[in-house]
Amino acid sequence: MKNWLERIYNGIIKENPTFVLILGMCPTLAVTTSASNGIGMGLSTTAVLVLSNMLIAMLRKIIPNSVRIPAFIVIVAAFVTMVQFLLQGFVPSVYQSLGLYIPLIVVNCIILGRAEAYAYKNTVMMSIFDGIGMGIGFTLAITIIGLIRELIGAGQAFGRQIIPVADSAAGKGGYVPVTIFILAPGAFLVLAFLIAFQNYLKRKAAKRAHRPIPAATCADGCAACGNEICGKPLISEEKTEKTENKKEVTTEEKSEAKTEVKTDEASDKEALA
Amino acid sequence: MSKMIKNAIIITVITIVAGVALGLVYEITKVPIANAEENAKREAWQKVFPKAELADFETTEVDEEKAKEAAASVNANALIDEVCTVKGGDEGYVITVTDKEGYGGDVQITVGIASDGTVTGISFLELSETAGLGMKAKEPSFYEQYANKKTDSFYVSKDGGEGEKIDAISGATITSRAVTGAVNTALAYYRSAF
Amino acid sequence: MKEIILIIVGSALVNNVVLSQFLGICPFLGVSKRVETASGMGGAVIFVITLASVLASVVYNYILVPLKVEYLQTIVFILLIAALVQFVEMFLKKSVQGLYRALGVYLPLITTNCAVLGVAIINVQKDYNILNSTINGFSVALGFAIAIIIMAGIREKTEYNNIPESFKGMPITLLTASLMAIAFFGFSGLI
Repeated sequence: MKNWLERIYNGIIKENPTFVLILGMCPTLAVTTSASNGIGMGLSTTAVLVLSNMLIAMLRKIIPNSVRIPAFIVIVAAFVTMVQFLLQGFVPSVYQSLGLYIPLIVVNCIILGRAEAYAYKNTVMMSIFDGIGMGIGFTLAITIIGLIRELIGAGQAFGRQIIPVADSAAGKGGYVPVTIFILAPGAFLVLAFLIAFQNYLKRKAAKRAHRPIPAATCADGCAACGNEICGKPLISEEKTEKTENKKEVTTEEKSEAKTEVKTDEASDKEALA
Repeated sequence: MSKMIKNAIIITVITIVAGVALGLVYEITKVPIANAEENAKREAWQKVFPKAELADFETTEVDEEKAKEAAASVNANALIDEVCTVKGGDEGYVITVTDKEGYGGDVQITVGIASDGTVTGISFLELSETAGLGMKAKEPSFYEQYANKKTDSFYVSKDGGEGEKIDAISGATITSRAVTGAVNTALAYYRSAF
Repeated sequence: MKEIILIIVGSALVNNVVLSQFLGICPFLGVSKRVETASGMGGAVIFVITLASVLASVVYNYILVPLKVEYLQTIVFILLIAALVQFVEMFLKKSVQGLYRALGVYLPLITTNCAVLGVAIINVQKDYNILNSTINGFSVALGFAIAIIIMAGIREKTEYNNIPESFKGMPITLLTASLMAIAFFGFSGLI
């Protein structure tokens, strides 16, 4: 088995960051008003993801465990700013249409998530391929969402008019665009249906194989990102460093907090199953 | 304790290296970024003043006081970024305005005004509105409404007002208002400064 | 005064940070199962974003601009936010026990809430001075709190509804968000 191929397959299909892991929702919803915006965002994120995965894998023996999250954040932020300058200088149109969401790539959970879950533990080459796979998976996902929204909302694809639009003033018949799809509510709507469709496929496949029906992905992707990957470990670990005298209280409270969240999630899964 | 210091040193080194690397990239990309902006600006000038040659445009100083007054007099939250004379003002002026009231961010446009006060045309430098809605401002059917009109001010159809009427882009009144506000600011500045 | 009211209404309702800007989606979807937890999250976010806006604005205007290193903006802001969250947590735990018990659990989640960084950057982009940045930060966070609490209220009510299997979980939550976003469009007539 070619390992690197497996990594790319994993990123695009098995652990697609958008549809399966449900990570990086902010850009997924915000910039998908058109397919070309989706591609621009996806490729920028891919670039940052590959570079940060590479560097973090290189430095994984040097970065101490307890300060790894701040180190990741610095590395990611630096790459994001570099990508931002490059876009501004060489592809100003993309830079303009993505605007605020370029610097916000820093807090895209996909990047910190991959750094933590993969790059920090694996070799440089594999981490690069993991970044490529995840990046392509993300790019494909948001391009598809963008395309659907653009097509229904404006009758266009990649900025070109595909379906002739009705013009009542000129007395011309045609397609009346459902504008709401390119507005904010449309983003939620399209994503809801795509995930529901995917749940449906999963359930069907599971039924055919007589496997137990998997619980719907629900919000645990998000919660997991917030709890386990990005937030919690950073805090609890740094805390043990910084407030050593209060260690006992801290761990106690932390575990309490964690069980609270866990039970919440568990009950949710129960409700779903 | 020593472990803590070691960690602190490592993270500091990473941060410094990242900062320096960023500075380097910044220096390298500074020229292309400036070039890209300059090119976009030139194109916009030519577009709003098709008759003039590139050499005819000359940047002049912006009178900050008058710029503020101009924006206030037309109730716009706008800034005059740059003013150019065309053939020393004989042909007219090109005024670049940023309106801060766009839906998705700032709206920056270039307005060409002939020496007799006629708007020769407008062109967008920065527009990050919703695709399919506010972005339609870039379609000729909208922006050509401003061209070749001699008036003191424009107003958006929905709001009413004095001067020339502009049909708002359907579903994007905020964008239409921002663009109109910017054009009005440019006109007000033109009247007070030249 | 008029400008300040416009900022508050604009940021909290019209351009609601979650429903129209799509910032802070993760906690909005992830921590909105109970009104109680949602209020806790909302409170913590108001607290942190307001503080972060002040700090980011001060650092940008008095350190980055004079040194001409505006390009470090993203890196500095994100570190600032991470450090701020740490300090707030430590401070609350030591001095304001009551508040810590109410907000403590949510604080760590906030570092990765893109609304915090988003607001700091928007403040810079819009050239807000320190006062306006603070007000804008507060109102954006208020908008977040409003949205997440309403969302939690709806989810509590609809928890046991009989919905198609495939729509259970994330999809129905997203649909709810979509309807809320439509409702919030009504506010755009305000400005």
